[in-house]
Amino acid sequence: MAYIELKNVNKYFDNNGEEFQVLKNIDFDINKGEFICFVGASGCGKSTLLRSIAGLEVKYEGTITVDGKEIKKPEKQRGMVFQEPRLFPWMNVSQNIGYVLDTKDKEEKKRKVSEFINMVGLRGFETALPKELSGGMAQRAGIARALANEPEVLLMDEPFGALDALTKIQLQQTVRRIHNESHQTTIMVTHDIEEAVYLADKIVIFTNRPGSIRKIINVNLPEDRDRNSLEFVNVRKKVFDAITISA
Amino acid sequence: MKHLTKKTGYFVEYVALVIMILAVWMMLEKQGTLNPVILPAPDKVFETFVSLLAKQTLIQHMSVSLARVLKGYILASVAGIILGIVIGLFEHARRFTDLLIQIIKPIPPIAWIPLVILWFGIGETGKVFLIFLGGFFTILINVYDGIRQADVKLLEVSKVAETPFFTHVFKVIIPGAAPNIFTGLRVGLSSCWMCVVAAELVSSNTGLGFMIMNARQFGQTDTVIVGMITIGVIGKVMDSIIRAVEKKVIYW
Repeated sequence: MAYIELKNVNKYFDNNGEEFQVLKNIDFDINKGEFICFVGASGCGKSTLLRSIAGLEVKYEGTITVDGKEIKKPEKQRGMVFQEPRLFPWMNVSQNIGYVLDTKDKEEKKRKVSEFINMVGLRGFETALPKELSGGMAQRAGIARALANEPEVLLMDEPFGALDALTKIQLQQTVRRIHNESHQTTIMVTHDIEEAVYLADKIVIFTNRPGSIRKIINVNLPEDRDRNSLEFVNVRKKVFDAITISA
Repeated sequence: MKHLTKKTGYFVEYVALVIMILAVWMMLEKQGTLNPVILPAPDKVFETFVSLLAKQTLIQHMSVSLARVLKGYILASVAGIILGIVIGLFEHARRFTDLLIQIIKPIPPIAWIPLVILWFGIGETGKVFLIFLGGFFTILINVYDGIRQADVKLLEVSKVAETPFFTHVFKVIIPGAAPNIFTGLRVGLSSCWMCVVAAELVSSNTGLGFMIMNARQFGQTDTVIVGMITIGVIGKVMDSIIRAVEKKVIYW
């Protein structure tokens, strides 16, 4: 049995009484420790599928199970990084990260918060308020918050979509490094092909609405990836072709 | 230096309209077209103000009214904030109370005066109750709107982290509603002042409302105006205090 199993998932949205399908016959497995990227055009339902795995969307046909248990609601074993950092404006960086921790032990909490602040490279910004952070730093805090509970599954919904190219590369490196160390099962939604090839073990390519799986590509690259290597470029081309040719 | 001139400029802008009105008022008086019973001269009003201060009558009336307002306002604030949070949080509580609130809200507190006199007599309790009524609904509605308009995106963060309910309410919902809560507190304060005067117009022998009504009977328009301006100034000062507190509390 695979770690995460999606079985024949279909989802419909209701638009003023008119029903339209967003997800069609989604059926695949994810193994423990894998880094999966969902790639597809905007509106293809890939974020909706991620939100369903998070437990934030529960109205769909079919089943999604994690470790054999069906998902009914959000649980802290599945951490989520959103498109926007979604930091609480009235809490500083430490408080935002500490908010999700439910340990009563103050020392333990402090230790954990500082561990994850260091992990995402935010040391020195513990007491900064969200309004004082750049977009990249705010998203780093968002990632630290999602990681702080040490979830078994990390879900990321286009986390770098709003960042400039350089910041994006830095954050991709951070996520790569964290994954290399933790081997946490991770699912990331993106429309950036290079990002997917740089991070993923498997790339799930979606068709346009209603979103269904067009192709799953195994990346088979080493953990330390060189974006300019021939192998990297070849995989990128394969993904690019899969997206564009039949689109 | 440049900064200073800018600030001075803003200040001039801020007070200009009031000064212009005062100037027009003085000009009318100079022309001799003013009937002092209809509108006494500004210097006459000022004179009355000084003499009322000297006799301590103004301070007495003012402190009586202020004490009434504070009592009613604090009750309205506490009740409005607590009930507003509960109604805002629970859809059932909202449905259960909405009809009653919507019906009672448009009734002006003045319309309550006959009932209040019957229920509480003409003593202090009735006046405080009227002031409470004036502030309560304004504060209640602002608070629960603030709670209900919470940012869904931030609420999802709590959901994903399975945050315990009370932590979620106190650390996310209430801070998120804080700007609306302060709006309610500020608008509610004005309503309270309106009600204290209404209450004192009807049955009282102290307070600024009484002072105004009493002066009217003796044709002392200058005293009427002193009373009005006093209420306005106290209201403004209290509003500034709440604004200052708001700035401290909402630091983000």
